[in-house]
Amino acid sequence: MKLERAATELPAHGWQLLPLRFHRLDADSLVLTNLVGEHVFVTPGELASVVDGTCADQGLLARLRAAHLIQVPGERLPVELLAIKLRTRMRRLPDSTGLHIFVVTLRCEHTCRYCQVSRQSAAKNEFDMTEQTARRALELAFRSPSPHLKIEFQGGEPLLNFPLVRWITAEANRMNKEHGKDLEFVIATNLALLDEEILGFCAGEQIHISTSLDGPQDLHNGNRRRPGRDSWQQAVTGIRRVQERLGADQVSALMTTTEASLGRAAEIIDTYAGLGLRGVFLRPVSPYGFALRGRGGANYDVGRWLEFYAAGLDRIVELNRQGVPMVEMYASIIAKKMLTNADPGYVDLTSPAGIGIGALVYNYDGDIYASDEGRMLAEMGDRTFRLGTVHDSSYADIMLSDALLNPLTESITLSAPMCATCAFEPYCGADPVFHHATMGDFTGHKALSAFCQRNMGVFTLLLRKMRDDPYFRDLMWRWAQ
Amino acid sequence: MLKLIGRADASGLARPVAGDVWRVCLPGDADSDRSAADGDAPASSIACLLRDRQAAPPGYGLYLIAGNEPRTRPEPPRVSGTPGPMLRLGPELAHLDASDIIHVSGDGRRVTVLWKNTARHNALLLTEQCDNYCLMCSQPPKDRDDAWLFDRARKVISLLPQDARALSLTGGEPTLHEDALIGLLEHCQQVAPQLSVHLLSNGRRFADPEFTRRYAGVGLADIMAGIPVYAPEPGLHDFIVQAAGAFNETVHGILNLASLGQAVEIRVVIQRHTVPVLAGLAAFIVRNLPFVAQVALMGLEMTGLARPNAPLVWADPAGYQHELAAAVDILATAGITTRIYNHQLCVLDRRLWPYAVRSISDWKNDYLDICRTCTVRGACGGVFTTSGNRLSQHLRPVP
Amino acid sequence: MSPAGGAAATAAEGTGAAAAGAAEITLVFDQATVDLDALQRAVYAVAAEMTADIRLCGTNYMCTLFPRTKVTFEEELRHRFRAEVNDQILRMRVAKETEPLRNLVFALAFSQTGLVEADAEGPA
Repeated sequence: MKLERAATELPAHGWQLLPLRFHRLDADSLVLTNLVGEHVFVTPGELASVVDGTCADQGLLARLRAAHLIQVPGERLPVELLAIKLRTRMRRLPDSTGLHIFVVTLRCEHTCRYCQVSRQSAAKNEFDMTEQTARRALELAFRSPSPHLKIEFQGGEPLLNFPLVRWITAEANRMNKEHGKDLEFVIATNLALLDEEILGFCAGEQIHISTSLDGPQDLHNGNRRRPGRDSWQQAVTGIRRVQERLGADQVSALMTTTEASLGRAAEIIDTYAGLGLRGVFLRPVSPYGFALRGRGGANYDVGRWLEFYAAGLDRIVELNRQGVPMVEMYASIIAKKMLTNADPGYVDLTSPAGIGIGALVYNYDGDIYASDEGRMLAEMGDRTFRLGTVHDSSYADIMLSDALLNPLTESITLSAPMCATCAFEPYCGADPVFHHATMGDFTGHKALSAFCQRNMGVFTLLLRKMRDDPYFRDLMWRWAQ
Repeated sequence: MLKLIGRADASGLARPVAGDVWRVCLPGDADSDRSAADGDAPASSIACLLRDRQAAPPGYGLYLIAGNEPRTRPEPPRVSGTPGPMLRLGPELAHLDASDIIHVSGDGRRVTVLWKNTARHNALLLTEQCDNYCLMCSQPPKDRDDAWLFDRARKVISLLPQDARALSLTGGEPTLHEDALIGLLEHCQQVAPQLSVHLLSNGRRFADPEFTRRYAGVGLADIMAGIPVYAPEPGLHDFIVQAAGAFNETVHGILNLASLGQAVEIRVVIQRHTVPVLAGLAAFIVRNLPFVAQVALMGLEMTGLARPNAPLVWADPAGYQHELAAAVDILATAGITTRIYNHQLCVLDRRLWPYAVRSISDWKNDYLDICRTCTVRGACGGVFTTSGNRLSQHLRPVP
Repeated sequence: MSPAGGAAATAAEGTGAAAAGAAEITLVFDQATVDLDALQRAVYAVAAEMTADIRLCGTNYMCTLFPRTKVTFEEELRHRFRAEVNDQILRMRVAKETEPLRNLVFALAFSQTGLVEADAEGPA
């Protein structure tokens, strides 16, 4: 034999480390990640022996080489591949801004406990966006380099200003003849006002409906009050109508976790499953909004939310085993970041943060905000994330403003304390609005940050499950594609 | 199974046969007018195949009397004198037909079929030299000057019928002869641009950006490089191909090809060493080489070096279905076109049947006696005749 | 560089000692084997559980720990802090060793190279 097996194995000190970070999952288990988030599980002893150069486990060394965590000195290929993968992960950065939120009215007939913005006034003129404002906002939106634009109608309850929704859709399509972008429209609505006219319009323009469904009836109605106390029924009826008329793919639901939700994760999932909704997005409500407004729902801590999340995830996995292909959306976003080089484009989990470059919010009055949370913060008196106004700010004014660039710069995880050395940095993102609101600076002290605690909790939960359960590992692989 | 080499009775030859590569035609074929459309095919390259009692039209450089299959035609064809050199073909070549391309030895006594027009796959051997030395190599490298193989291939390509669709170029390692290969590809682009070309290569020469530029510069519309990768890291791959540094060069080569928009197929021979890393290799391909046109997972052909190395490389397919299914799942879920070659359906997990392709070349495939009662024989590629009796212990008819 | 904690530590120190009536929780690190940087990073990382005060005494760093909540087992706090310091030391060692390759990856990622060259001779 020309080349013995031993000659292709690694002798002691026969390798060098490639950039890697680690996190302790349990007393006897760590996860190593490379620059682009590929991971390998090791024991503390294994890590020490790999760092020291004494490891004799050729199988482990082979897996580390394949995952670009170690290389033989002089090799160029691992570095070339890491660079290609890194560049691939970042390739959507120049394609700002994908999501444009139009707050067409602040009026709403619901009074949801966790809502920070809606108004109960009946006077249309006070809190409705005008066509003039909308047109100017569209002009700014079309300045974005992104080849895809998602226009999302929010409020209040956007269907209370349906004529403007219709107008903006038509106007955007007209303007797009010149730009040739890929346009997508979404209405975030509580569905109580859905009627045949609106359904017909959505069918014709292929509008996607996003609604709120907090869980079973008592839970949902407890959170989301409206005259008639039938928010849940309205939502469910609306969902079914849209599924029937537009197709199951055209409607999705989001839930907001409140104190009342904790302990009822499985029921919430089952409610979604019962309605044929495939995706569930288990997310917390913005805690700082709560704390400052004191509007019920209480301040549940991250630990309890993580228990809730784990229970919900378990229920979803169980349903999958029974042949019901449900997806937990947060986990699927993280799966993409862990297992592929694709950018899922989720504005709340990117570095730099998605403020401005991922999403822009045009308020009913023409004020422009870097994110929806930034708008809510302004409702509470803090206008830090107001970038300008459609009425006299140019595209350059808003995108090059200090108001945007300062928090953006400070949101880059590769240069934030603790984030820079965190094993999960490739999976995570930044939330300058949250950190500004709770800690007074855009970067925040991550050891004290609920944002960090929550995300670390989810990452470690997912990784442990992937390590210990081949079925879950396969599920994450499916969710990632 | 088709015989590609056969004897000929050259007793009627007065002198050595003039050319060596010939396209076969029948009397009355469109190109029996030798002066017509075939710009590149001089009269000395078309051979007329005569069957029983057929008159020999004048003007051909060579006449072939069809071989007779003893079972169907006990009497040899009766043909009166021919207006040019004549060979009587032996029974192995009874299958010879129009548009086949053959090589005739100088003395006329040996005929080799280089291109079988009705075959699923046709391959041209370009060299037997190779800079790898795979443990399971079915075409063991020979270190001798065989540049004439390129010349012969060039002639075959010149003679290809208009309806020729696909051609494999194999070795050894074709890229060891850079100029000859580029020249051959350019020739192909000129005379047969519609051809779908499959170049089998270990990919190492493509680590040279200049060579890759030359390759891409030929401008063939449909050419794919089929490149083996046996592990997700150098240690195991280099051992299997018996060449230190091979993995890094091969993957560099794949990256270079991709950066110039060239199609790449990754081929993985499933053998004892690759079974345990199949899933890891699949994940590596998805993460690092997601642009590949397809991945071919291939069963062993137990010939060449695979025979003396059988204890090192043999793995019964029935024993690795779990690993194979895991690898296919990883690739297919990620949207990468995946094919399973050279596996009998009876030893393949049923979930994998949609990925199985009848891939064994006509000239070396066969079925066992037990296959007669198999309900899926028609869809199955059978076994390699070249593997002899080194086959799975678990072959049985599917009920 | 001033030790982490500073003025805040002094106030907390006083409160902690008065409330608990217990001895201070102090750890000693040899300057020869532990970088100040590692200690400071460790203090930063455990901020949710404790604050800490670092002082240089001869050739040692003296770290005084102040738990945020009442601690039943002091030893746990010491273990926690020591473990964090060791992790930070490991991180810094790995970062230092891999810095040239990390820079190379970023340089390649953001450069305009087209084709990939074959392996260079000798160490990277």
